Amino acid sequence: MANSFELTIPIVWRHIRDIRRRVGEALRAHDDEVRLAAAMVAAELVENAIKYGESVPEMPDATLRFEETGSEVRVEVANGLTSPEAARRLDELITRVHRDPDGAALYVARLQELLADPDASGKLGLYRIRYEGGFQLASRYEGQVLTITATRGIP
Amino acid sequence: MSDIIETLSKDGLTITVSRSLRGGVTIRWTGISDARQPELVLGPFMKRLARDYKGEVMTIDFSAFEYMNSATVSPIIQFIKLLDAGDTPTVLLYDTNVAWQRVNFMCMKAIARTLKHVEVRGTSSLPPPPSSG
Repeated sequence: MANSFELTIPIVWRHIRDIRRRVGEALRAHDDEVRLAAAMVAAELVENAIKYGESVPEMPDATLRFEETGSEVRVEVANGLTSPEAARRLDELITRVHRDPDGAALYVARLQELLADPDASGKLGLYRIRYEGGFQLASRYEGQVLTITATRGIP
Repeated sequence: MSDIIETLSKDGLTITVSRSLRGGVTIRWTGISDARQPELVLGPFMKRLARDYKGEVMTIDFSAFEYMNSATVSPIIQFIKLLDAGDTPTVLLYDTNVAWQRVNFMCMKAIARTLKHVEVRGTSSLPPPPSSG
């Protein structure tokens, strides 16, 4: 039987800590590696939704859907976004991160960029989700709603 | 033995700066760092630390650090860069038994190879196995 929940998230930063806790509790039967990775992934995706999301008629708040089926964990975060160009750039980045066989080289390259440029920021979360969390990422953009889905198998 | 020099506490994150009686400065991170813009607090604090302890042997101990968001990584990297530029011999400690630390600090090791004065070392929070003899 699936273990799942759905949350509507006001676009306010202080909710992120609760989301990490909630996902961690939902996976308490699993080992720390899976539990902490999923909590990190949920927090990073919701951080992005709050940072870059917009309130649109189709989606005034962000939403998080969490599901654990016994063999897989799935975290899906949706938010409003009025810029198709921003959605396209994000999809390109996700495709690049998704195609990398282990994610480590991309993650190190991004750290090197941060080392070289003190003003560089952002986008590390997606690399981290792939490399540290071991999750696969996908995105879709329909009707000014951006949805990012992260999935990984449970050993 | 060490003397605590100062502590920064903010929203669940605590950074304690202490001086060992044998010399050297240890900066210990505990708790969680999940602020939206952690650089606003960490940046000025760490810039001052890099200036105040320039050239001293420094250990930055992350082994009891519970969680950081990705926005925290950049200020940490900038701090390490400042220490390296100030010829401050620096060791970053992490816990090899904590998956997120192990994964992140393996990457930090790759970064440290491009620096002159920074080394990344794993440590273990687990007790050693009993001897067979």
